[in-house]
Amino acid sequence: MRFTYFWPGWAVALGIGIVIGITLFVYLRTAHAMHPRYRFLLIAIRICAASILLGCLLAPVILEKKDITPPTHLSILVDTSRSMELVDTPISTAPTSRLNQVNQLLFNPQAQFLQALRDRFEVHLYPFDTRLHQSIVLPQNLDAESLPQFEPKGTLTDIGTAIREVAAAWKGQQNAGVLLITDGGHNSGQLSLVDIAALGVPVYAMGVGSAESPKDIQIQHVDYTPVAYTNHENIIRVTVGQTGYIGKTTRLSLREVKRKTLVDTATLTFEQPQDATSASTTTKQIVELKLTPQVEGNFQYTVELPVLDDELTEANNQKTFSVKVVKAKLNVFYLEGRPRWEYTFLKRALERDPDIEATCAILLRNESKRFPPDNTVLSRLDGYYPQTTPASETPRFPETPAELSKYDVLILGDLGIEHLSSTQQRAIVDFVEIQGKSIIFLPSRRMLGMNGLRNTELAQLLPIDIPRGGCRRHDTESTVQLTQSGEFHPMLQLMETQRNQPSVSGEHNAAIWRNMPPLFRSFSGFRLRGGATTLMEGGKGNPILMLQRTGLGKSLLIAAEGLWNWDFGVNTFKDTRYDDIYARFWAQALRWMATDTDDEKLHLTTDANTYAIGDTAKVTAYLYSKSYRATQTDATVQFEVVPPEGAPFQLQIRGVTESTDASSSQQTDMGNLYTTQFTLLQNGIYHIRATGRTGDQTLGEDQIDIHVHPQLAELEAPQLNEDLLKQLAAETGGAYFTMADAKSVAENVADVQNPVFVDAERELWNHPLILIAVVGLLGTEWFLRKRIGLT
Amino acid sequence: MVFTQTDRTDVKEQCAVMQSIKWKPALICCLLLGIFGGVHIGQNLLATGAPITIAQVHYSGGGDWYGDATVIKNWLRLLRTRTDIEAADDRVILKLTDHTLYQYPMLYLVGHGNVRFTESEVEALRDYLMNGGFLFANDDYGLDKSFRREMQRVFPEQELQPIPNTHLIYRCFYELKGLPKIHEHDGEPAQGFGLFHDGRMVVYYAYSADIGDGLEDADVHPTDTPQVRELAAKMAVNIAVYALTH
Repeated sequence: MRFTYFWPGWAVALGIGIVIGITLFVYLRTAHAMHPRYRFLLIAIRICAASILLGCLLAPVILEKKDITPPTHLSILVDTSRSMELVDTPISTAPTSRLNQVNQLLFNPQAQFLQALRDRFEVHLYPFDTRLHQSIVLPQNLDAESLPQFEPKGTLTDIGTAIREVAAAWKGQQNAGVLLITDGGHNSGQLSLVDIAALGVPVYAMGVGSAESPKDIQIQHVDYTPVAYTNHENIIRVTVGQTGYIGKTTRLSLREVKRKTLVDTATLTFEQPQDATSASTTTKQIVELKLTPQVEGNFQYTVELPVLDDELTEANNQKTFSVKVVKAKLNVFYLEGRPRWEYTFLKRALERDPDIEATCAILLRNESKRFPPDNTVLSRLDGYYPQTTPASETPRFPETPAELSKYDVLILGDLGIEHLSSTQQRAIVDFVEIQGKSIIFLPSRRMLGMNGLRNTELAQLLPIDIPRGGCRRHDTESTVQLTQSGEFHPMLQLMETQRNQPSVSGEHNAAIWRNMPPLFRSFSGFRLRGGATTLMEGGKGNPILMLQRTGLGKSLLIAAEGLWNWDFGVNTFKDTRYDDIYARFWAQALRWMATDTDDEKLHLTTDANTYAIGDTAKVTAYLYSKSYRATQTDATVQFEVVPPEGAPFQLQIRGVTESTDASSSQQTDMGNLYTTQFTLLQNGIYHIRATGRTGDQTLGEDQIDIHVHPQLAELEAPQLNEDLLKQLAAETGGAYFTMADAKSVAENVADVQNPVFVDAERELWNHPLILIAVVGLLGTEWFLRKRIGLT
Repeated sequence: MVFTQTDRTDVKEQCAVMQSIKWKPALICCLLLGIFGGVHIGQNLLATGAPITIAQVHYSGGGDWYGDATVIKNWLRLLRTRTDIEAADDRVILKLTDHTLYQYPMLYLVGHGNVRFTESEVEALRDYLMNGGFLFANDDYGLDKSFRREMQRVFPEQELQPIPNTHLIYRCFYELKGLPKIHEHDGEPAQGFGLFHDGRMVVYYAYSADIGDGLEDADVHPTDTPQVRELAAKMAVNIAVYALTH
């Protein structure tokens, strides 16, 4: 006990002294005769009563230990991903999905599972898939009517994230652990058992489902070329997997989605592999289908397998993909100003490409005085380097605009002012600006120099203004890097887009470009025109690859020399990934330049061909003004997205960053580039239409369709992964249970409760015993005084 | 500038060019360019890659790989002056296993004696030729046996094929009647041979012609007449133009 109202010792002693003094004074001064024992007793009683009251004034308290042991938490994580809706035995015999079994266990009052846990722990119930969802509030009375039922909504499963999040939620509190109820189908994010163990939270895993692989057939992968050519046969390679159907014959079919036309079929029989031990062995085989598109356009195709008897699910029996069909062969004319390696390697690449019909020629300079007066010089051959036998068949520049218009793309090498007549120049300008064709400039020191194209009609086609003294030339090695616009430009994609991870593909693509062998010569000192977009820069930030719309056509300038190093120099790497990069770059560049050369002023592209539910689609609009120059600053692009079901929604980009809950949009650093992205939540085709406007004037429109297929990762390994769950339990100090062991869970979850006591003070002045004691003493005193006759 | 004895031909040609220039206006122009457009003066034309360079192969086996010391320099000068090819000033010497091999799409191999490639050189040369490179081999006399043996190791599946006189390599810039005979050794006719990959000639082998002799500085082989030297120059230009256009 201690006193909380502090008086100095002398004051307490003085008070007691005064009490004693007054009491003695009163009773010793009394003349009434009384036995000394009574006198002493009365004095003692009075002093005791006064002392008690005096003590109460000092606010006495007593110290005692108080038990404040908190409740022990137990978090139950229930896997609500799509794999939990699987029925492990054929539907006809047991129509209970994995999640239904869990619902029965948790919410059926007769099971007493949840109640048994609540008797020992503070139970929290969480659904999870790729993340931990909000906990279910459990009522005090667990009757079936008031309890929710879990539904399998998640497209993927991330066990690691769920455990980490719940551990963080109850960190620092008494935590008995995590009861993980799942089929173990982890298929998203990292799952490091070491990291989970480091959390210090025991994981009690309860496996749901059968560890035996269920009978199923699935289309695992479709290998196809995103760009196909009209009247060209394309091979579609389909990887078909099966479990439990050895010896079964089925039919794989390829259909065009919109018209539902059958394109090709193939019969396949699942054969027993030589090393197989049972009929339930999982096998896969590749089946080839043929696709020969007839017309240009964007098409969706589906490969599908029929549903077999007792099959686990039909959701993975089909896959849809998009193919852009373009004109069969491109006609390309490459006119070079002098022999150089750039010409050598590009000519070879063009001639190797079966989809390109290339005509290549090198002009002799018309300054014949530079050649010795020798009649064996072949300058008579119309000024071309002979490249055929007989030399008279050497290709030459088209003689008429009609001949020129047969080509889709014109490549001009290092030409000077003396190479082309003004008539030829005029024809080239019309070829691009009026006929809507494309031109690629592949300069060296001559074209961008003082006597290059600066003062020719061709200068208006360039995306740059050449300064009066010519561009500055740098004969030093220069690596390249993609600009923001170049990172997702179709002509610069050297990696196949990974459907679930387009951003990863983008990083790999940018890394490959950074690693490319250097260019040997680059240029600077020029001024970029307003409508030009830089797709690639040199190491010092000087533009290398510039693109612009000019008239109805397009123009591309590669202000560097040494691209042949991307074909020849890459052999130093001894890396097969780089083997066809040069050819691929040129094929994509030429194909992109040759397509969409209509008079549309807005072009839409996406970062992938097909997506899975839950993916984010990134859509980019290239907007050009009426004159194909830079857009006005007040230009806006409005995206209208029509999902497969539900109301369309719109996204508008003005040039400032906007964002909504479901999407985000921004105008990039390039004036004519607008991007938006949104999450794809539905299965089917999303129609996207973009409209560019300035004020009331419409600048252009374009539309694109993207196909979204269900997320099938949950079905790739649908059997119960007992090994993973057992390891998880063992590493974290928990235990593994089957559904049949459910009743023993409550008693096997270790109680980690540690009693917690704190020191607590209790005031005594208001204690009833104090009052009783004081009243008793004073009453006794009164009784004694009455008895001996004192008043 | 100091001219050595072996530079005599160069000096004559350069003097002829210099005499044809009207010096005062040219000097003024140069000065103005230096003041107002000086950025173009002093650019390094020796950077690898952009100006065309021919690399001479340093091989093993004891043969004089280092011969024809002035050939490539003169050859490049011919390309600069007779065509508008942007050529470098002098040769580069490398081994087939050098990491810089793929900076030079055209190789020159010459010698009188034995050529011997190591296994890694055989593999490197095969990869180089199949991936876009071109080799011009010049038999100085005595090279033939070992060169054929080594090329058989590089391309076991084929042998050197005779190149007909109608082939484009003899007429892609200068009209020639075939491989010219530049230097007499034992009276054999000059013959051109080739190796092909995917339809492209990847090796051109000049046997018993000795184009290199005709390209050397004039005082190296004073017995070669100007007419013969001119034939060698034309053939050399044709070989380079052919390699650059195919």
